[in-house]
Amino acid sequence: MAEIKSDILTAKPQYSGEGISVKSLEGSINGARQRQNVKVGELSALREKNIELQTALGDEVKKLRKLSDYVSGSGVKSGFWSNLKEVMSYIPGLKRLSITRRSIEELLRQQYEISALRVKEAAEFADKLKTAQAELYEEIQRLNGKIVEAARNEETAADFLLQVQALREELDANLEGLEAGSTEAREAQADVDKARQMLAEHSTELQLYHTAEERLARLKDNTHMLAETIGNLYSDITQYVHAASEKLDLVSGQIQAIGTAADASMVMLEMKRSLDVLTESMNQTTQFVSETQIYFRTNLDQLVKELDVFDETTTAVMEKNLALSREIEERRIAEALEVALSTKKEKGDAAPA
Amino acid sequence: MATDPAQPTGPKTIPSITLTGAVESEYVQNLTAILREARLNVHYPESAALRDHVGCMSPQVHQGLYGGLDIDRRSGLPTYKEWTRVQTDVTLADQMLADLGDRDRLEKRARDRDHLIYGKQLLKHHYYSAIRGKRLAQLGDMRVALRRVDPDTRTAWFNVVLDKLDASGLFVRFTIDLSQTDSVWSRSMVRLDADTAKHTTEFRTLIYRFTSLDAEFTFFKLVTFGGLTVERVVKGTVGPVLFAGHQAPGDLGRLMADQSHGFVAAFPLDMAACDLAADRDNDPLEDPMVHRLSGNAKAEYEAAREGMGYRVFKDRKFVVSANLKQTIRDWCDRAGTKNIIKVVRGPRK
Repeated sequence: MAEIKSDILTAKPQYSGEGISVKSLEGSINGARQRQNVKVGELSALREKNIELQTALGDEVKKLRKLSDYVSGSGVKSGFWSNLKEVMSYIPGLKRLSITRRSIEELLRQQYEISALRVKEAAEFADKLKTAQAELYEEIQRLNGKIVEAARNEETAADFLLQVQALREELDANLEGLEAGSTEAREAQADVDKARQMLAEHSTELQLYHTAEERLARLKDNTHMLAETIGNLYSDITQYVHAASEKLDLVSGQIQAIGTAADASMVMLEMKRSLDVLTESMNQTTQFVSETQIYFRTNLDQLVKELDVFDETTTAVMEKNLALSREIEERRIAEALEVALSTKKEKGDAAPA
Repeated sequence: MATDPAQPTGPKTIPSITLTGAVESEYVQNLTAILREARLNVHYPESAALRDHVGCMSPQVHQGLYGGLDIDRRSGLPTYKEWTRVQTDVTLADQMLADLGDRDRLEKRARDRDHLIYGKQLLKHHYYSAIRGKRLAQLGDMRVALRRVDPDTRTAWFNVVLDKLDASGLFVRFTIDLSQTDSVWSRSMVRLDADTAKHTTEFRTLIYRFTSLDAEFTFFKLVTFGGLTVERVVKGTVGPVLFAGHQAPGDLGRLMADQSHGFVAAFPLDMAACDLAADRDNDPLEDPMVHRLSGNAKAEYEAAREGMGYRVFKDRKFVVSANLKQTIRDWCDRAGTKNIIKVVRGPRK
């Protein structure tokens, strides 16, 4: 009995990591939250970029559609050339342009170069998303490490608490059999107090590790949600950019071919085709940007809101824990022991037979 | 007119070949060396800008960010898509570098972490850093400079320069010296504002459409268009650049057909001017434009030419690999021309 008492009352459970305190837990959670907020901030910046791209692309598609419509109607409508001149006034530097075979080539080249720039911007946008996603998955890995560490430490604390509680019960029983006020009773009381102190200390640790595990897991879930959101956006934009790039490749060859074509009707046919391909190319990119815009509008704001709610919730949990540890120590110890027993049971149930 | 953009029909694109890896790298090195060795004067598109533009296409610069380099089989030069790609990237370089952030951070991240995107972001930083601020070849740009003004006759003299990647896949520079009398023509081709001169879009379009014509035809067209007094039209062309082993059209292509390695690059210079003492043709390649005229058209053309009082000078310099120098020299001799033939030493395949 004396040996057991000595071992437990002087023992220190081996927690992994840097140890835990209310302050360090708060710091750790805040650090993770800040990293998450940075990513949300980056997403907001991407949303702004998206708006710019959408506006520019919308303008380009509008020009292309009008041009294509006019060219389509050239065979049946009178005044085609004057109509096309009007359309060309949309293109910078081409206002009042005489319509010739070469000027058609020039018109297409200017439009192609603008389209190429837009698609390139969209491709770079996709890479930014990919980078953001990779960073978030790294954060998830880091959080997973912390969660596992907290879970292990919680288990260590639970084991230790159960041992101290068993010792305390023995010490209480032993104390009852001793003469009140005797030296032995004073020594036994000192041991009981020591055991109670250890219960208080390590139940706090248990509670902190338990809280850390839960909060980190919830942070991880949110981070995962962000990463998946960005991953989906990346996947969509990559698909659109590839399609748009293929169309642009096709049209670049067509533009040079138009420049060498001699027959006027052939030129018009080629121009119509090139415009259609250019329009399709721009549409591919615009479609992405437009869909992304809707996604951002409907999801990002909600996501940020949820993160804020989560922040308030976790703060409330923390405050509750602190209040418990200060004001209802015995009850907290009992609760901690209950958790320890429950954790122990869960681990036992989960262990393979 | 229903068309399916996804299923184009007919002759709508240009013949091209995609170079990758070592071949791509050697091509860029060779083309850069060719352009340097050509020592192009002011009548050609700016050589340094062309070299920088081509240099940006090197796999050593883009470091694998692009899958290869498409070459126009007709001209032996990169396709319009490739020139535009570099132009786009240089335009975006500063913005991209700002977005990518600090290089040290990117290097550390690429080194410490195994996700591919970090490596790609670092490569992009290298690429955009290498190309930022590069002065590139103009794919279609016209500049007008005022030479002098005579207030008494309300006449202004201009120098017009148009640089363009032509539909033929060749780079051309048109240099035109002309004068315009303000009162005689309501459709001014060049606008004078204080000390600056600016071409009208109409004039630009007019010249733009002439880029596939030679200098003489452009001279002729400009004069007959009215309102302008043309003194000189010079057309300097970069290309074609023909490599052995690749089918190419024309006389040079036939010369290259039997070759196992090497290259020939041509740099024609074509001038029609009033201050030339006599016509001179030092171009071993025949002029297809003149020979394509019908009998009546040719007679009218000859008569008009006499009236306009200009003369024509045609020349062509060559830059070749060492193994082809004598072949080209013999060919020029047979054509009765004395051409500059420069040799590039170094990697050539």
